[in-house]
Amino acid sequence: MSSKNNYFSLLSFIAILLSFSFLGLLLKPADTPIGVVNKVVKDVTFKSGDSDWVEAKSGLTLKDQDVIRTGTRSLALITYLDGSIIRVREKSEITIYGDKSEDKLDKNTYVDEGKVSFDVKKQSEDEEFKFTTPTMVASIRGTSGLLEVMSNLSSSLSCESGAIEVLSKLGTKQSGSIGAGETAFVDPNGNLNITQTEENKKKQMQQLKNVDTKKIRIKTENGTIEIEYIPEGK
Amino acid sequence: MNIFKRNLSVVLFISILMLFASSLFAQVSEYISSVKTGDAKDGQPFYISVELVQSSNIGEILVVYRPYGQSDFEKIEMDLLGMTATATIPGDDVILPYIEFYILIELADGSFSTHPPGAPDTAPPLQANVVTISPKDEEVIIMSPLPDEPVGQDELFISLSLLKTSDSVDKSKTKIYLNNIDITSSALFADDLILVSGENLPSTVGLGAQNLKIELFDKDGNLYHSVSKGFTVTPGTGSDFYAARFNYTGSVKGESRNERYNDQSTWYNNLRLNFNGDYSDWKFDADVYVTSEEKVYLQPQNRYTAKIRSSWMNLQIGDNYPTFPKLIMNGKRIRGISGAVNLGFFNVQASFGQVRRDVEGNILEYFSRATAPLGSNVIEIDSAKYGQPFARANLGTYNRNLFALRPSFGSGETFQIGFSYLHSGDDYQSIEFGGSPQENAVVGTDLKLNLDNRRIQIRGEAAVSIFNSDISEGELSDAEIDAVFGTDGFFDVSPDDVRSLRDVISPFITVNQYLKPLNPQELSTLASEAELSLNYFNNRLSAKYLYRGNDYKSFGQSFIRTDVAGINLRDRLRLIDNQVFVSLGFESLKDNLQNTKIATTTSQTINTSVSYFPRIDFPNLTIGYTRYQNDNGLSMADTNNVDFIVDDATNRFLTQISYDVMLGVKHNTSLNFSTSSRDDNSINNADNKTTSAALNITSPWNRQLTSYFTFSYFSSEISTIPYDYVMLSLGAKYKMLEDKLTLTGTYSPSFGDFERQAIDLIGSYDVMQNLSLIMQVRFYSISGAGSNSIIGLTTRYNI
Repeated sequence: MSSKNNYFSLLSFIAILLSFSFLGLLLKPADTPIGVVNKVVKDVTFKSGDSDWVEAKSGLTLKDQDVIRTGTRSLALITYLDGSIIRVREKSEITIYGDKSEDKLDKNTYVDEGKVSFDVKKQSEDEEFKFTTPTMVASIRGTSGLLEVMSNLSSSLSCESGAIEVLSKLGTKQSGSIGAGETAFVDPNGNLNITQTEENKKKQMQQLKNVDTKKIRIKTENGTIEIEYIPEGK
Repeated sequence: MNIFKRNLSVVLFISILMLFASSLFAQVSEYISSVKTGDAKDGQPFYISVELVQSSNIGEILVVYRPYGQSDFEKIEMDLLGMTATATIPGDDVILPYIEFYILIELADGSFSTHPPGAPDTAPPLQANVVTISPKDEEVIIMSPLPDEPVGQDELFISLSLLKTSDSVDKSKTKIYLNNIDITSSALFADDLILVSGENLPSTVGLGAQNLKIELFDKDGNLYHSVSKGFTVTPGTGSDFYAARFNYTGSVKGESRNERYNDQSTWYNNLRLNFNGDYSDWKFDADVYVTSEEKVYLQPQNRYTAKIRSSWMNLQIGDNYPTFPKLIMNGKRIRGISGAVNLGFFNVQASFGQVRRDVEGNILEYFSRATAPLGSNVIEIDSAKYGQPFARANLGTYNRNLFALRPSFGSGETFQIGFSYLHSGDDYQSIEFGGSPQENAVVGTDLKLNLDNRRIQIRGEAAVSIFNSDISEGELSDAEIDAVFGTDGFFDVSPDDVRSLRDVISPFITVNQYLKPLNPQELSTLASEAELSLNYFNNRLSAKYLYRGNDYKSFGQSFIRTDVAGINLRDRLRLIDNQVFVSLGFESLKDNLQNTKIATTTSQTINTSVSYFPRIDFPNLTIGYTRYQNDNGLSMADTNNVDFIVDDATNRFLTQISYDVMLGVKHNTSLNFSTSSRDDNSINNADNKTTSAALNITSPWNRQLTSYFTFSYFSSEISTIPYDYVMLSLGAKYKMLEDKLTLTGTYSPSFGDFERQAIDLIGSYDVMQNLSLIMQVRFYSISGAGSNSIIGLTTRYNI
C-alpha cells in the first residue's frame, strides 16, 4: 500500500509538473509584442499567422512570426523591445521571431530576400540577436551593418562596427567572424568568403541609415492625395 | 479676470521675493554673476556657461579644471559672446565622483581675476558632482520618437519598452508625461510595451521642442526612477522633414544693453545670425556674431563661422576650434579654414588660419641710446622717423598664423595611428611696436588601440617642439656661423655641421641663436603620454605615464603644463550591480626635468571616494578624501635656499548627498560639504583651513512655477586671517499667458565678511510663435566696491 501510495504520489507530482509545463506553454502569450513598426513609407504589408496580408502602419506592434514585406521604393523601420533598430529596404521580406522570458528577448530576423540595415543594441550574456537567411546565420552582440539577400539566395553581411559571428547553412557549413570594415559573403553553395568592405558599400551603409524619402501631393476633387516614396538610388 | 488677478498675484509674489536662483554655483565675484553647468556624467562632455556682471574689462576667460585623481589643472579657453562665456570639458576628463574647476579671467590690463576669488590656492575651486549614467536610465527604452528624428505634428507616436526594468518595478504604475502633462490615460499598455498615439492625446501637441518624461514606480508605489527625453515636432507630417530634401532652421538675435558700473555707463549692441540646414547626408551650419565690442585694439570679438559636414568629411571656415591630439592643439580658436576627410583606412585633418591678429602698440616714452633703460617693454625704434632710437611702449601683438596637418591610418574603432605637424609664427612686419616675434614648429605621433571589445585600451602620443623666441633678426648667415663656431670660435663645433643642420631645419623654422632646444639630447622639448586602461570584472584600471619637458611649446596648445613627469594610477570598482562605486587614485609627479631649478619638487596626490547610487528610495551619497603633498627636500637648515622650500600637505574631506524629497511635489535637493586643511612648512607658512557647505533645492510646484533655493556657507582662515560669509539665493520661474510669458527672478544677498546684494530679473515674452522678446535687469551692489546695473533687451526671431 505504502509503495502504491509512493508511486501514486510520484506520478501525481510528475503529472502536475507536466501540467504546469504545458500550461506554461499554453499560457505563453503568442501575442506578446516584441517590436513596433516605427515608420512606414509607401507599400509595406504585414502578415500575422494565417491571416491575409494587410497594410502596415506606424505604431503596428509586431509579434513572434509576423512577416513584413516592402514593395518598390518602400521602407519599414522596426524597433525591437530592446531598442535595436532594423530598416527594411525596398523589395524585401522578413519574418520576426522573438522568444521573451522575463527581461530577456532572443530575437531572430529571417530575411528571405532584400536589404536590411541594422543598429543592434548591445546584448546581454544570455540574450541573442540573430539574422538568418537562406544561406547564412549571423549572431550579433551589438553592432551596426547591412545585410543583403540576393535573388540567387547568396547573402552578404557588412559590419560597420563591433563584431559578428557568421555561419554558412549549406555545404561544409563554414564559420567565421567579421569586424568593422569587413564583409562576409555566402554564395548559394554555402561557401563563405570574408573581405574588406568596399568603399561604395560603406557609403551605401551610411545612406541607408537615412530614412530619406520624398513626398508628392496631388490635389483631387476628393481632397489631397499624399504619396511618400524613396527616391531612386536610396 | 480671476486668471488676471491670479497671474498678477504671482507676478507680485515674484517681484516681492525677487526669486529664481539661476546660479548653480552662487559664490561671490566682481565679474561673474553665475556659473551654470550641464549635468556632469561620467565620461560625457561637461558644459559650463558663465554669466558675466560686466564684460568691458575682460580680455580672455578660461576654465581651469582638475579631473578627479589628478593634481594638475588643465585649461581651456571659453568662447565669449556678449555677457556669456561657454566651454565644454572633454568627456575623458569627466570622472566620478567629481570634477573641480574655476574660472580664470584675464583682464584688459593684463591682470587676472578668478572665480571663486583666490582659487585654487586660498579658496577651493568649484566642484561639480559627477554621476554615473544611471543603470536605471537603461531600464526604460524609448523606441520612438527615434533619436535626432523630428516628428510630424500629425503623426506623433510614442512607444516605450519596459523589457529591461527591474523586478521591483510595478510596470502598471508607470506614468508618462509630455511637457509635464500626464498623458498616462492615453497610453496603451501591452505587456512590456507602452504605446501612445498622438490622436489619443487630449490636446494637440505644439510645434518645436517637447519633453517626454517617464516615471517608474516600485511595488510600494514609491518613485523608482524617472527618465526624460527631448524631441522636436515639425509642422505637418514628419515626412515633410525628409520630403523637403533641403531642411533648414535659423534664428536672428539682437541684443542691446546698458552696463552701469558706478558712474561709468556703457552701451553694448550685438547681433547673432544662426543657420542650420541639411541635405541628405550633408549638414550645414553658419553662425555670425557681430558686436559693438569689436575694437581694432583688441583681439577679435566678432565671430564668423560656416561649417559643412557629412559622414566622411567636414569643413569649417571662419572662427573654428579644431581638435588635434592634446599635445599638439586643442581648443584654440583659429580664424581660417579647418577640415578633415575620414575614409577609415586613411584620414587626413588640416587647419590653417590666424590665431592672433595684429594689434598695433603705442609709444609711451622716447629714449636716447645713452638713457634707454633695460626693460621688456623698451624697444628699438626707427630713429630717423621718431628722433630717438629707443622707446618704452605698450607692446602690440603680431599677426600669428598657424598651420596643422594630421594624416592618420585606421578608423579608430580598433586601431589608429596619426602623425601631426604644426607650424606657427608671428609676422614681424605686421606691426611696428611689438615685442619679440616668435615661431614654433611641432611634430608628433599618436596611437589608439582598442582590444577585446574595447576592454583593453591603449593610448599614446608624443611630440617634439622647436621654438624660436625672436625671429626678427632672421636666419643665421654663413658668416655668422663661421664667426661663432669652429676651433677659433666660441663653440668648438664644425661650422659645416652647423650649416648642414641649419639647412635641414630652416625649411621648418627660422634658425638663429634664439632657437630651442639648445641641447636636444636633454629632451627638454619632448612631451609624451601613454595610458593603458583595462576594464574587466566591473573594475576599470588605468595607468598613465606622462613626460613634458621644460621647453616644450606648442602655439596650438597654450595651456599645457610643462616641466613635469610621473605616473597616474586610477582604479574604479563597480559593486552591487552598479550601485556602489569605489574610486582609488594615486599620482606622483616630479618637476625639474632638465635641472633648471634649485631642487626637484615631488607632488603626490592620493584620492579615495565611495559613491552610492541606490535603486531604492534613498539618497545618492558620495564621501571622499584627498591628500595633496608637495616636497622639494629643502629644509630650513639650508639657509641659502630657504626662500625656495616647498613643503606642504593638504587634506580634504567631502560629502555630497542628493535626494528627491516627495513633499507634495518632488523637491530635488542636494547638499555638499567639504573641508580642507593645508599645512605649509615653507617660509611662507601659508597654512589655511576652509570649510564650505551648500544646500540646493529645486521645486517644480506645477507646470508654471518652479522655485529654487540655495544656501551657501564659506569659512576660511588663511595665515590666521579669518574670512567667513553666508550667501542665500532665492528664485523662481513662472510661466503665464499660455506659456507665452516667462518671468524669472533672483535675489541673492550675502552676509558676513563679504556683503553683496544681487538681483536678477528676466522677462521673456513670445510675441509670435517665432518671435520673442527678452528683457533683463540686473543689479549688484558690493559693499565697499560699488554697484553695477545692467539693463538689456534681446529680440529673437526663428526662421
